[in-house]
Amino acid sequence: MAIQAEVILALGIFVGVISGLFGVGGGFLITPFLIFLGVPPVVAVGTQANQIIASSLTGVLSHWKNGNVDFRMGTVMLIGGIFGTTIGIGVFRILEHFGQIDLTISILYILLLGSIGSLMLVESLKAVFFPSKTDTKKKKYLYQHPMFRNLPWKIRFPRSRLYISVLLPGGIGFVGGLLVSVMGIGGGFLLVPAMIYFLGMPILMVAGTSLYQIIFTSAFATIMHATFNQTVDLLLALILIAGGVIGIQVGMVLARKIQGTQARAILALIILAVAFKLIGDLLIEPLEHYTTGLS
Amino acid sequence: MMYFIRYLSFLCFVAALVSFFNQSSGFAQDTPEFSLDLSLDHVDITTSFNGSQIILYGSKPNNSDVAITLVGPSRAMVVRKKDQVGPFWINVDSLHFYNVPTYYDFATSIPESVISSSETLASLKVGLNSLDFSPSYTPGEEQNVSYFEEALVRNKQVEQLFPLQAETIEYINDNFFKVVFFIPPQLPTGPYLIEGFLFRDGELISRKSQKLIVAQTGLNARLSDFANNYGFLYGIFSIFVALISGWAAYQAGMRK
Repeated sequence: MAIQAEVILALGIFVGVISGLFGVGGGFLITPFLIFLGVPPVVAVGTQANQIIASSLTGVLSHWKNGNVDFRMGTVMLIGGIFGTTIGIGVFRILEHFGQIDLTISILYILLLGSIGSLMLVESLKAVFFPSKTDTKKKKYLYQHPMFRNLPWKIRFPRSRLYISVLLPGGIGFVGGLLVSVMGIGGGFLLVPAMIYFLGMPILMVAGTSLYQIIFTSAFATIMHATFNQTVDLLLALILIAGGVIGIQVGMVLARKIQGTQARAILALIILAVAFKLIGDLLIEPLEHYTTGLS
Repeated sequence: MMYFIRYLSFLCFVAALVSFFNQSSGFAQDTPEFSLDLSLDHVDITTSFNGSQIILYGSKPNNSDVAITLVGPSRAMVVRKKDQVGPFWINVDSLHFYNVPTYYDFATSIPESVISSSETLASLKVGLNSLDFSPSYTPGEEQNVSYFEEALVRNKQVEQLFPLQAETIEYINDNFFKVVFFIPPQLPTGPYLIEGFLFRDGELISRKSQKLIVAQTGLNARLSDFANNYGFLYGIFSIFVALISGWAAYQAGMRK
């Protein structure tokens, strides 16, 4: 790899600061930035799967200490996650064969970052300009919908005090597996709300349980990427992890000093800028129309 | 390294002297035979490897021309073509090549066009035009293939893995020559073959070859070897390292 280690470290620190500041994983920013630095998208995704293991373990340990992990729920989710990862890796290989994997990764990130960025921006602008108007609408929880309640294979989840079909957490885990294997993100931002709205899990349990299953799902994705695609770069992952550890401490200190809503608006703008850069790279005519790769 | 080069230059000097006396004393009309020698028979690529040069010495008879090729191990490659679909530039076409040298460089004592016929040069792989990458195409696509082939060479040249033109052969005297191949930092690893061809009036009269091993050394090399040959174990190892660093990060955070 011809990219300087210092640049990668700086990226790790930057994303770590954002993680500490906002309590998000930040994987969704690492992959596009690695692509901008010239890392092949497939390597960026494979390496991210490995990096997620480290950051999720760090996170889950503190939730575990506080007793906020539902291991039974997490295990059902990760079984779904294994299926999702297997299918995701298969799709990844097929797209790679047809030379469309880079394009797919770009488009998925444009959709993901574009929607998250605009939602965040709208929300923080609302909070800045209409601070009194807080969201008082009662959220409708979908887990009470008969369609979900009548699904088969119900089991008890004592820690979350739930009696639901394994298909629900399994399905959410499946989506998580797809996200890890194709996009290289833990997908906490998607899994956490899904666990609240579709499963009705206690909010306190959600983050720890989601992190717990992400560790195993991304470990499985790492093995699959390393075995079938050879796209895991351990040194790259280690530098990112080291940068993240430094950055997260800085971010947590900053979080106490910075206005939340303004910081969120800035993050939203960063996310949108990344999305626009990805779109621009697809729209601008490349200098060289032909690319060469190993087959 | 320096000493070795000096030693070799000294040898050449001695050899040149001997040949000079041989010629002037007249008891041996034979000029030197065709021979080649390398300054190094292996290149070690360390983490700090920043490119280097391979120096080759050789002798040749009078009234003959020399071509030298430096060829890295072959690999299968795919060339993809981007085209505009709607507003987007995406890959629309591709062509596989089954036999592409990872690295290629060459030197000729006189321009390739006059050294020998293009058929001979093609069979010996002297010059970029003589390389056959074994493309996989269906009949009727021949016109397209040449675009892909040119793009492959162009991309390889941008990566400094193919030369823009022939390297020069420096003459120490009529019979002794030296070639310097500059090699880039991203030199692919594996067994290389250095071949020398001797022509007289366009006819191949002698050929010699030498092997050169390019290997990575150090941690980085072991890791990439491990990753390429034992993917599954490498995956397990990567997970293990990630778990340790995640746990260490938690401990570091706890202490605060």
